[in-house]
Amino acid sequence: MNLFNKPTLTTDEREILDSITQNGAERKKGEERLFNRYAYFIKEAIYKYSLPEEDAFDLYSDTIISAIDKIAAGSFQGRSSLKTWLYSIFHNKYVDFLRKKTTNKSSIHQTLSISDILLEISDQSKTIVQRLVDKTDWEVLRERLVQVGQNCRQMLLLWADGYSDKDIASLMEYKTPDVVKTTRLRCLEKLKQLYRIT
Amino acid sequence: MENYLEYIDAYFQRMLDPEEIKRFEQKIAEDPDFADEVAFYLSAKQSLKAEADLEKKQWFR
Repeated sequence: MNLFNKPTLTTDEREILDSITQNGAERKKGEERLFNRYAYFIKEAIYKYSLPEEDAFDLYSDTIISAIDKIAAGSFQGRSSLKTWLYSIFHNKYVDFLRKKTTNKSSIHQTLSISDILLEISDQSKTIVQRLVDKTDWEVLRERLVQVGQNCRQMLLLWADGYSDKDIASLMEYKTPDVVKTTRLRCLEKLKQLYRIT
Repeated sequence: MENYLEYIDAYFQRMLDPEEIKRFEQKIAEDPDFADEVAFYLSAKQSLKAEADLEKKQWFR
């Protein structure tokens, strides 16, 4: 069934959107199609914004990754064409890029605002968790991820990328989603132990 | 420290009922170890997502 049956969208765009919302192996194909479909934005950015190719590629990749997350989460409603919507994300990324450049803010600087995640939580509890999150040593956490082992790493990356336990079971050839869940939580526990011993 | 990861995971996967959600959020304010576990869960997921995005970017090349 086509979930994006909007007149603003072309058949090609609908197919791409459907693939991305299907998860599993189909999602990967949809992601690749989406990337290739509008890759000419890179050339446009090189000429229009006078950006080096590397920066233009980064901007476009970030745009596509952001768009994939929004499509998978159901945020894209098809009120405008996919191209118009993507271009607005691309332009916002360019504005952010310029801001970061002028303030000399490193692109690898990582932050996490929990306000959008814990919606129903009291302000007091939100502040407690936010303060603890702010103390995270992102570099160490990233290093520890290498130490959890290839299987754990792959499973945790899929989970963080929005794949369900059912999808992970299919992609990684596990018998059931419950086995994935148990393994995934064991991997997360392993990561926690590695992170805490530092 | 108790292992709360399964409970925290159930909260973020929206598997808890309204009463359990209320208890979960109260526990954050009352139990520092639990709050620390919640923070780790969120930080780990954020860090993993950044890594997944980086891999995707390399794959696009």
